[in-house]
Amino acid sequence: MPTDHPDGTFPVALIMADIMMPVDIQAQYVTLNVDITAQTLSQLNINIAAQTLGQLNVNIAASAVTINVAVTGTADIDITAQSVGIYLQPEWAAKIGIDKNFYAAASGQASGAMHYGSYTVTGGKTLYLNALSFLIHADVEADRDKPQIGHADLVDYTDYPTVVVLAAVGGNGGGGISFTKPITLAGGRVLRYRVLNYSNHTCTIGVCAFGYEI
Amino acid sequence: METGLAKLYTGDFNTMNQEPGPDGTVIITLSKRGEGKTYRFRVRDLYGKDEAVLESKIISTKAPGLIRRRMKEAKKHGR
Repeated sequence: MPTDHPDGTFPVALIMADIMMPVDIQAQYVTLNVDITAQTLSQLNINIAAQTLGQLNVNIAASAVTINVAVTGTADIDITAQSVGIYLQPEWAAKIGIDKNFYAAASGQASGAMHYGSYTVTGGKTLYLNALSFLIHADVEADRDKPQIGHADLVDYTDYPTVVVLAAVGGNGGGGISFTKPITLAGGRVLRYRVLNYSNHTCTIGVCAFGYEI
Repeated sequence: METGLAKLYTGDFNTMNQEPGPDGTVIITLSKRGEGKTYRFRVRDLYGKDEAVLESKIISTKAPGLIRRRMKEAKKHGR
């Protein structure tokens, strides 16, 4: 194709409302700067397959954006947005309202007595538990300065009399534990959160379990 | 099925309290953030063959009218 340009290049000007431009670049070395400015951009697909990719910088400025990134390697992503938050799953669960908080307590529990709560996990969902705590204190005032030893646990009670202990904690006056990884129970399984009075006098005992269900 | 028990079976709550009721029954209190209601019911043989809700009530948990009015007034005051 003939050109008027002295070095033989062809200037190209693209002015249109809609443009689809597939780009296939095959080269040993390439620097590709892509600047996309649009009023609305419903989806941007970028597939980069390379043996070596030294650096990939993605700058996205938008009032609302959902980013799905699958990376094998290292990627730096700079997001400029009105608000950015990074939540761990339990925190996110509380934010979106799928957290679960269980509590069971009873007073007048004799030495050796156990109290518990039960929950059958919703069918089709999984319960993730991330913490367990319990309390124990004497019912009679004269006993309150004595040791109040107690024990709490989480068990899978589905196949009773076979009971699987999932987590346990003990202590004087109460105790608690956060799990470094959630304890999971599938839909239809029966969770029991239990607390036992191991002191030698009557106590109020209570147990809490925390998690979320997806 | 009683409303509170249905919420228990569908997991439609955030917080559940269980406390012993009379005659081996259990009193369950369920609440879900943002709903403004608490479901409190007494059930016999929970998850068992003879499960039955013996009594139940739904309690409104919205902030009392007096507090809501003061919050509204305070918002105007801050502008």
